[in-house]
Amino acid sequence: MKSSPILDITLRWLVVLLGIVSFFLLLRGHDEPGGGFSAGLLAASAVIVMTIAYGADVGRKLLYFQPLSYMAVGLMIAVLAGMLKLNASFLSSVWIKVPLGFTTLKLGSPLLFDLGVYIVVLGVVSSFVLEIESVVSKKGM
Amino acid sequence: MGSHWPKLVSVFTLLMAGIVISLLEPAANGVPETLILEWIPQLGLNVNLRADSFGLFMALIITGIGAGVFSYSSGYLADDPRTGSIIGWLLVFMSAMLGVVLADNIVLFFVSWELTSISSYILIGTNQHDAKARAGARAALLVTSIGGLALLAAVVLLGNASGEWNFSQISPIHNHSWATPIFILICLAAFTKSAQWPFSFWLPNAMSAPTPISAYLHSATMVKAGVFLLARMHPILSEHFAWTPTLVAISAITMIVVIFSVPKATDMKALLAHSTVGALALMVCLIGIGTPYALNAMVLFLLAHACYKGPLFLVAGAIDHAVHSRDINALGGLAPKMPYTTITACIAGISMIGFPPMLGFAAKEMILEAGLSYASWLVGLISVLVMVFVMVGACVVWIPAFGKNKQFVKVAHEASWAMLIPMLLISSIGLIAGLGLSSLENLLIAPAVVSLGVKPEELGLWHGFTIHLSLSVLALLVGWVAFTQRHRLNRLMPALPNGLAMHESVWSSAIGFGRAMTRIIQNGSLTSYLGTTIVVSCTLIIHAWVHADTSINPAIVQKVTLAELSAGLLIMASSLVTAFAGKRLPAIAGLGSMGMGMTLFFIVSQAPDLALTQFLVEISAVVLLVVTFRHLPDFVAQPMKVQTGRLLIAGLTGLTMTVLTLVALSTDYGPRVSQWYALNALKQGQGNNVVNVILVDFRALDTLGEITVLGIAALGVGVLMGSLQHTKLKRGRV
Repeated sequence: MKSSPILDITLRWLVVLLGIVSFFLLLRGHDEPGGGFSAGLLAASAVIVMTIAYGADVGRKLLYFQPLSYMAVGLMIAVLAGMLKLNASFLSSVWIKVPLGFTTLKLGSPLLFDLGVYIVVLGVVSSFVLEIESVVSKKGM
Repeated sequence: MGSHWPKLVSVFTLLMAGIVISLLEPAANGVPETLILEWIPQLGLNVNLRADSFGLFMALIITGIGAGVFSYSSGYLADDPRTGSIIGWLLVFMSAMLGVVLADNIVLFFVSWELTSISSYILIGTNQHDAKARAGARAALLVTSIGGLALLAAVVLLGNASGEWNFSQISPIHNHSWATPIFILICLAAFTKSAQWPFSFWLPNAMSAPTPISAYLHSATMVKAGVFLLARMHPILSEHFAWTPTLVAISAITMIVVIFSVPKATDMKALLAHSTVGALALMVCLIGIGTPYALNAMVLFLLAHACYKGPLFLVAGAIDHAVHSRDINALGGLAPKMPYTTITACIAGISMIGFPPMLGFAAKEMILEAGLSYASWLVGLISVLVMVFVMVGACVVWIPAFGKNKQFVKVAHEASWAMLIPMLLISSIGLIAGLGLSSLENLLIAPAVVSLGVKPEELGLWHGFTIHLSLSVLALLVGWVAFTQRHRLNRLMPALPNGLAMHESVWSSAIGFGRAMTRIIQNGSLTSYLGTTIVVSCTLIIHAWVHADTSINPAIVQKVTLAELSAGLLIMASSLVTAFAGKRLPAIAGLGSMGMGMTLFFIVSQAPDLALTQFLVEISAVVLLVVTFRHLPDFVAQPMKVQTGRLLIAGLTGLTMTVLTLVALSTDYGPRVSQWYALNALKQGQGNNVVNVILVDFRALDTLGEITVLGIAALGVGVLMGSLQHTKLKRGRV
């Protein structure tokens, strides 16, 4: 297949954009529409786009780590976020507010939990795509 | 030589034995040490440990023999790569066994009991590449877990019948209406664990385990858990009318089985295992007789048996280790090459055949007297069993050491000191205890008997010239004659039905049944799975709706807005496109636009989060379908009959869901939880986005479950795809 410069450049920017927007969705999720699930899906769509354009190997390269590691790490973060508050039942939330002058930064264990969800969803959806694509491309050739 | 750390474990276990000894005195004075740790206080489940004298008596055997076995293992396993796992599982077993004997709470007792079964299973299957070892391990696990389930039921019944969950507080319940079921279940648990007929087959088949494991689990400790349970239940249930007849009858049958099995065996460990089954039967029988004298005899015999059977197993292991054979028809003349092993074997063997001044002699005299007080036929049977013990002793001690067959003498070598010292020490306990019987009685036996609720009897080596003394002399002589004529006996003895073979046939028919069911239920056709699931759930819903007192409020239909209606129409139109598209691409497009309709619906209902997620999911799904569909086989139109069936199923689903939705909307459920969420999202959850606050804070546990399921689904897809790459999936196979 001949490579197309238009596709290459568009995709490069698209992937960066998808990453940034997904992170933005994750961070604002607690107050505005967004959150770990949709943000994770959006991040995974970057992997989907690269996989369809260039194949499973490039998708894997973009992910850098195994999809399985994403799931494990995400789950671990979510569980740890549940244990942040000592002497309380599992998954009790804890918040700290950091004044930044122009605004206050709201950091809490639910945000960490959402980050876990984000990473798990990213890993799961990417693994679906990568698995299917690598099987399909082997059969199709 | 290999690593020495098992010896450290041995020292550690010896320290534990020291702790056990230090607890003996308060227990003997009637104030046993107790320890209560909270476990699940909400259920009233606590770790209640109570170091009473009988428990400590067992704990001393467990830690004492354990220390010996760990030291022995360091020599026996030497450079074996499995040393770590074997020692680890032995430690798990030892803790579980200590839990069994020290637990006061009956639920804790059950949990420890099950742990001993599981660790025993893994230890028997140590040689996991050997099919025979696997079969033996599986038989042991299945048989003992039948007993475990029975024990669970018995524990629940016992706790509810008596209102108490601690052994020390349960009063006799033989008059309770549940006494008989409890008794039957307890018997089932004890007989499976202690290898009584008809479950006795598992123990000889567990001998494929490495010898330290056989010595520790399958002679000295674990198999005695059943005996221990019966002894613990003795004060509670022994007045039950079936107690004595059942226990005596079952143990008598077990003894007969042993008497017939021993002459057939030629493997040293198998011989020892059969005689262990016989010894366990003796203990069960003594508990069944239930007189104070019989219980005294049982406690004494339990100690004597641990002190001679353990070392005899270790001797068998040492010989196996040196010459790689345990066949008594091949061994012989090893005494000059293995002098210390031979000394151990002789000390233990003399105790086994019940020769003075050994502990085994004192125990055997008491057993015969207890049997005599019950019934003369029983004492006859016990005498024959003693005769068989003499035969076994001669086979495993005399033949390897002094037999004429000298084929292995050249390769034989003495075992290492790490193996010899524990063997010698444990077996000499039988000698020392036999000589110092009165101090043993004061320290250990009498308090243990008292804690079983009966008065202690005076122990003595010499009871004068009595009937049972003449019986044991006779048994000794006949036993020796039987030993010399064992080849003839071997031919004369009828073959018993093979318990393991029966067990295996039950096992394989269960597997066959499972296969057949799998072939019917999991036929591999996704269409039929979906069809079945949908039809069953729709039928259930409609059934519930017909029988429930509900009505559909027509007002809700009038509240539909134009936007909602158009989203609905989009969904309907695209589903029609999907259904009637003759090709895959339009069908996928139809599916995608159906998803967009759903998204539109969420937007109209002011649920931006749902809309966003739905939108992203739809896009990913369509993209995935487009990637794969090119590689699928061509779309084939189904015959009319199939099409009609599918149409019916689809219609049923649509109808059911419509009814369900209408009914759900017409029902007034009272105050809604959603209002509470909306009110408290900012106050308690620090967020304006109620959906997100619910997901990551209020109901975060649900979310955690969901992402775990997602991960598992991904693993499943990975396995499916990975296996598709390498091999063709076989159908209908498990």
